[in-house]
Amino acid sequence: MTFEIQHLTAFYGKVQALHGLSLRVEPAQVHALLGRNGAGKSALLARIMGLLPAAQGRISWDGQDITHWPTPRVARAGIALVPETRDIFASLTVRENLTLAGRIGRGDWTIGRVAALFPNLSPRLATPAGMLSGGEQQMLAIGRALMTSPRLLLLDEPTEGLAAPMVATLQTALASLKAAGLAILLVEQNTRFALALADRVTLISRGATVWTGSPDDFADAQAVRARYLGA
Amino acid sequence: MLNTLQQAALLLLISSGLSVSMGLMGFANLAHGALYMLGAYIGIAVAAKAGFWAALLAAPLAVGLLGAALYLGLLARLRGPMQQVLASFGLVFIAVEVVRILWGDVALTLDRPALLSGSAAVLGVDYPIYRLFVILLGLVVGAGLWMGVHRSTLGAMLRASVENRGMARAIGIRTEALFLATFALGAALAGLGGAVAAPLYSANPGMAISALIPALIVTVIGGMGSITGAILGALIVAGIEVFGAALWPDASAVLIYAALAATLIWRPQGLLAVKARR
Repeated sequence: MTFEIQHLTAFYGKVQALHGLSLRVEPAQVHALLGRNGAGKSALLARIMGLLPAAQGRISWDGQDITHWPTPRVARAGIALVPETRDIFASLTVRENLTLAGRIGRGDWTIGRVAALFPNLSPRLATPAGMLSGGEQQMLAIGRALMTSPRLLLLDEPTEGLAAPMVATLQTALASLKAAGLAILLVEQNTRFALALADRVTLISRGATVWTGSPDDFADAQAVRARYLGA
Repeated sequence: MLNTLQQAALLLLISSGLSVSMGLMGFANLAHGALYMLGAYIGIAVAAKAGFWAALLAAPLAVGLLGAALYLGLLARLRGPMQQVLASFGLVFIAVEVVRILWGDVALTLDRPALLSGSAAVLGVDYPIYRLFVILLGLVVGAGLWMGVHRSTLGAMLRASVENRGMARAIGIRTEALFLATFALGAALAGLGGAVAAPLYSANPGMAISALIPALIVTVIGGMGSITGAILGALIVAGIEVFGAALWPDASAVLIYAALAATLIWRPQGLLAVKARR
């Protein structure tokens, strides 16, 4: 169940967003992906899902080359995306958002289990998802991803715009998902949040990997942090 | 009043497919009126051999398949509204010529089936049974579409795909197959509309255009991509057509365009448009 990317490139139209990026996510680990705005983090997730067209390089998952797979097939293979913009289906109810994603799930995730993980959602199942608060939308976006029974979760800046209590709820939830065996590729600007969960840290800049190591090594690598994160 | 309902039922059959393909799929399909015309001609041809009820089944089936072939072969490959408008409008001319070659340039009619001929007293007036049948069909199709889109899983898949196609694909929805099926269904409804209209109005090659314009107006007034909007738009346009012709015949042709212009000024997205992203 290993996920590996080798020398990946990708383009937004004519603009190159990834320049030969390599990365590996081990089963049941949280891999934090850090980097400045525009470093190519969201482009990487979009490319993995097949939402950006394939260029060079290779994506392998569970022993299969999924580089050129269309998006629905990637999703059905157990990779789920929670985009930075959340992209919940605003005109559908919360329940419909979850049920639709559950169509390709294996049944290990039910609406009840999502509601147990995010209790804020349970009184709002019949509400149009567009009426939810930002934090609730984030929970729905994660719950929707979980309903597809993923084994790799791609999370794009989940704490962005959330109040502190919501961030704490999210951290507990993600820790329990990791404990349940889910691998997570976590893109974050909030370095503290990412390091609290991460087993491995990768720094990217201009669409390529510039540093990778353990969270402890990352804490010691002050020069790297200063250069690529300005912190 | 009944005429309004009957006209609205017919308009709904034609414009629901157009509304779905334009609003839900972002697809400017000007060939939709040609599909309606082909429905009428196929209906007449089948009725001559196998009777009215077979025609009512065969016309939507054949036009639906044709719609699917059209979508796969041509329309899905075109990107950008200009290409779609030009290509689908080109198809109108091709379809009209094909009809002229096969059936000639004369108006053809289809006899009403014995079961639906004659008239019945409704609210104190005699009203042709066939027109009542058209109203009933419109109600059934409208209710079926509304239930299908708003209450079924398939409908939820469609609404999700329209709102955000990329994200719908990311939760495993095969949007291409879904859009193909939806487009084919829209075409089939236009075909059904054509076959149903044939006994009321004679079939002629000009109907490819003359049916397209009110259907476009219904779609714009009702709001693209909304079944409820298509129903509402069909009622409004049919109401203006029927009552306008009765009360103010001189202006009736202009009234519909005035309603269209008013909609575009006050609510350019249509009365009940579905918001679509990407």
